[in-house]
Amino acid sequence: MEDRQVIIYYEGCFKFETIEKLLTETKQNLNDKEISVKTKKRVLNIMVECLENIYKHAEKVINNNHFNKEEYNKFYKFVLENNNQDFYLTSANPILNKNIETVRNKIDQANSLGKAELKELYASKINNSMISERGGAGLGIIDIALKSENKINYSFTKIDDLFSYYELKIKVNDNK
Amino acid sequence: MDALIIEATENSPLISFDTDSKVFEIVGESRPENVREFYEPILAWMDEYGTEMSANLNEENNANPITFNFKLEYFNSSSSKFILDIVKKIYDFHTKGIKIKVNWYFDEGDEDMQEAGEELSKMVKFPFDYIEIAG
Repeated sequence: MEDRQVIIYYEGCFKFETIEKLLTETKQNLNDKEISVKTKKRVLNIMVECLENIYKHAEKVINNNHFNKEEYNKFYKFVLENNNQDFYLTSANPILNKNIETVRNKIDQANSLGKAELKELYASKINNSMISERGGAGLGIIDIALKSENKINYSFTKIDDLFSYYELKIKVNDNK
Repeated sequence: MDALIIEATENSPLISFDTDSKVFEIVGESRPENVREFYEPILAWMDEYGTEMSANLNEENNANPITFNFKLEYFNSSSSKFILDIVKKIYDFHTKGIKIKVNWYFDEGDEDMQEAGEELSKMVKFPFDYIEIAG
C-alpha cells in the first residue's frame, strides 16, 4: 500500500464547532500543497458533507443516551489522508439498524450513475424535496459522488440490536 | 425599501441587497448550522421587495437592472436548495417586468462552481453571465 500522510485524524465528540475547527486546520494544510483549486475545493466540499452528516447523527445519538461517553467517542471518526496524488476521506458514525437499508440504497444508486445522471438526480431533488432544519434532503451522497468521481466505499458493522457502525470511504484524485 | 444587509460569518455568506445602487450580492461560504433559519428571512425580504417594485414600476425606477452578484466560494448541499429558491425569486422579478441581471462568479479553475451556476441557470431558464476571478 502506498504511503499515506495523515492530514486530519479526529475521533470523539462532534459539535458544530468541531466542523469549524477541522475545516480551518484542513484549509491551512491544503493551502500549503501544490494541488489545483478544483481538487482543494472538492476535498473541502466532501469533507463538509461528511462532517455535517456525522454531526447530525451524533446529535440524535446523544439525545438517545444509548452509548456511554467512552463508547460514544470511539464511534465518531473523521480522517483525511493523502499520498501526493490522491486524497482519502474516511467518515464514521453509528447508525440505527433500521436506517441501514435506506442509506445503502442511496449510496448504491449514486455509485451506479454517471456524472450527467447524478446531476439530473441532484436537480430533481433540490427542485422537489423538502429540507429539514438542519438540511438533509438526501443530497449529500449525490454531491459526494459528483465531486469524488470515484465509487463511494462503505461498510456497516453491527454494534448491537439497535445500532451499527457506518463507515464511508471516499477518494478524490488530484487532476491538475 | 431599506437594504438587506447580513454580515458574513465563518459559515454563512455576506448578504448585501442594496436597494439604492440595485446591486444585490451574496459573497462567501454557505454552510450555516441552521440553513432554513438563515435563508427564510432573505426569501421573505425578496418577496416583499418584488411585490413593492412591481406595484410601483415605472420607466425611471426600471431603467437600470437589479444586478445580482453571486460570489460564492463554497456552498453545502443543504444550502443549494435555498440558493435555487433565491434564483427562482430573481426569475419572479423578471416575470413581473423588473429588469434583472445575474452575474455568477467563480475562482479560476473552479469548474464545479461554474457548473453549479450553469445548472441553476438551466433550472430557471434564465441566462447568467459567468465571471472568472483570477487566482
